[in-house]
Amino acid sequence: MDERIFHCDRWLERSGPREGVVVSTRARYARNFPKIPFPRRAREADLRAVLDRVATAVDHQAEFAGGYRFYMGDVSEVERQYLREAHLISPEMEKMPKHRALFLSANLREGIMVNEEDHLRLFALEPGLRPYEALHQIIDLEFALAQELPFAFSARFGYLTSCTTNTGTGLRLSALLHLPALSITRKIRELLGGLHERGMTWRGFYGENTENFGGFFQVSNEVTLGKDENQIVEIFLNTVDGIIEAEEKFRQELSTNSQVLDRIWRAYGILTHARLISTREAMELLAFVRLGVDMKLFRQLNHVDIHRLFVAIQPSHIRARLMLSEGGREDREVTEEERDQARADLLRERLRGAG
Amino acid sequence: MDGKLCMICKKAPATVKVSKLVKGTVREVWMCSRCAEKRSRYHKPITPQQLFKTASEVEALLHSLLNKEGESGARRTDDEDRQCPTCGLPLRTYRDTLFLGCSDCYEAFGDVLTRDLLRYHGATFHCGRHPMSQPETVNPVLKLKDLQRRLELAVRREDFELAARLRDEIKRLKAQIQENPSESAPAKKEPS
Repeated sequence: MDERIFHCDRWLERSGPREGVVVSTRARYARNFPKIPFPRRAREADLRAVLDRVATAVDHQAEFAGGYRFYMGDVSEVERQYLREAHLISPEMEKMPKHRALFLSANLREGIMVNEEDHLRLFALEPGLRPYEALHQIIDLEFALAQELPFAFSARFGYLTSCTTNTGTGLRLSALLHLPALSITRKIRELLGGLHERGMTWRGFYGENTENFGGFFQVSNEVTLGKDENQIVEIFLNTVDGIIEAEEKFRQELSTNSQVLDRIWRAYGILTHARLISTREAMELLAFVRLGVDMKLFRQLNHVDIHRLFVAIQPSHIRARLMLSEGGREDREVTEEERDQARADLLRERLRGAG
Repeated sequence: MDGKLCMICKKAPATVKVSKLVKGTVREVWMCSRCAEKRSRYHKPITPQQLFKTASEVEALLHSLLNKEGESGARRTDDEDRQCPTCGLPLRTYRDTLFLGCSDCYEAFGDVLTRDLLRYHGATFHCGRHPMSQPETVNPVLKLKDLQRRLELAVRREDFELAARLRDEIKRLKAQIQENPSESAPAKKEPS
C-alpha cells in the first residue's frame, strides 16, 4: 500500500460557498466509444482496449501530469474501499475491479472513471455549491479528450449512454446536502417529493432512512435529454437554493431550541470522551456537531474540519491509517475493536478543545 | 382527506393536495379537481400539444404506434427476436434491465427507445453540447446572474469578506463579457 492514497482526500480541504448546507457539488459526463459494447456487455479484450485508449489520451492532458492512476485490478481491496469512501469511485467499481481504472488530475479537482457503467465518466468535485465551476471543468476536459477520442453521438439522441436515463447531455449535476433542520422537523419528504416535477431527484446519501442518520441527501437532475447544459444548471441552482432557504429558515427556529442545543452538546461530549466508537454512531454525532458549527457554537471548528472527519472515520480510512502506521503491512488483520478504538482516538484528537 | 371540502370553492369534496414552496415555507392547499385545474399548473389536463412539443416527436411516436398496430400479434414474436446487429443484445434484455449493449442499439431499437425516452425525460430530441461544440458553451450571463445572487446573500448575511471576493469576480466576468460579446449569446441549441 502506497502513502499516496492519503493525498486523494485533499479535495476535501477546500472551503466553498454555502457550505453550511451544501457539502459538495459534483458534475459528471457519461461518454462512450461508438460500436464497442458498453462495459456491462463488453468482453475483456474490449475493456482492455478502452482502458488503453483512454490512458493514452490522458497522457496528453497537462492537468493529469503528476496526477494519480489507480488500476482497480492492481490495487488492494482496502485501497478500493478507501477511494469509495472518499467519493472518488462508485460501489460498483469497488466490487468489479478488473479492467477498471480511476485517473485523477494533479490538483484532484477532476477525474475519469474508466469502464464503470459507461466507457468514460468524467467528473469534477467542488466543495460547497459550485455547479458552474464543476461543469466548466468537465466541459474543458471533455473538449480536450474529444480531440483524440471519438465519442458516440447521434444528432437526434445526443450522447449515447449505456442506460437511457443518461442519454442526451450525459450530464449529472449533484449536490450533497446536509439538512438536519428539515429532517428534525420532518418537513423533508414533503419538500423533496416535489423535486420530480422539476426533472430533479434525490436519495438518502448514507442509505435508507437517512433522516435518522444525520440528514444527508443527494439532490441531482434526473432529466438529461431535451434540456441543454445551461438549462440543467439553472434548474439545479434554483432547486438547491429553494432547499437551502427552507433549511436555513428552520435552523433559525431551532437555534434557540434547548432540546436541539442539548443534543448538539451531548454529541460533542461523547465524541470528545469516548474510547470506542462505531462508524455509524460517530457519523450521527458528527452530523449534530456540524449543525453546531453552523450555529457558531464551536469557534475553532469549521465545515471543512467536519467534512474531513466524516471521511477519515470510515472503516477503510481507519484501517489504512493503522496499516500505514505499521509500515504498510496489508496482511495484518485489524479487529473491529481496534478500529473503534482508533476512530475514537482520532475524534478526540481532532475535536478536543473546540468547545 | 375524508370529508374535507375544497378550500377554494368550499363546495366540492377536496381530492387534490397542492404543496407549494413559498419563501422557504411549504404551503398546502386542498382542492377539488376542478379548482385544481384552474389553480395549479401541475393539475391541468394534458393537451396533445403539451405532450408532443415538436412535430417530429409526433411523427416519431406515430411511426412507432403505426408499426405496433397492423399486426400486433406477429409483432410481439418479432420483438422477441429483435437484436442489435452490432452487439447482439436482444431487445427483451434491454426491456428487462433498461441497459443497452452498445451505441448502435439506439438505431436498432429507435422506435422502442423513443417511447421510453419520452416517458422518462419528456423529450426525444437532444439539445445541448455536441462533439463540435467549443468549450465556451456555458453562458457567462447566467453565471453572472448566479454570482450576483450570491453577492446579495452575502451582503444580507453581513459576510463582507465573501462579498468583496464576489464583487471582484463579477467585475472580472463583466469585463470578459464586454470583450467577447459573442460568447454571451445563448448557446446554440440545434446540433447540425
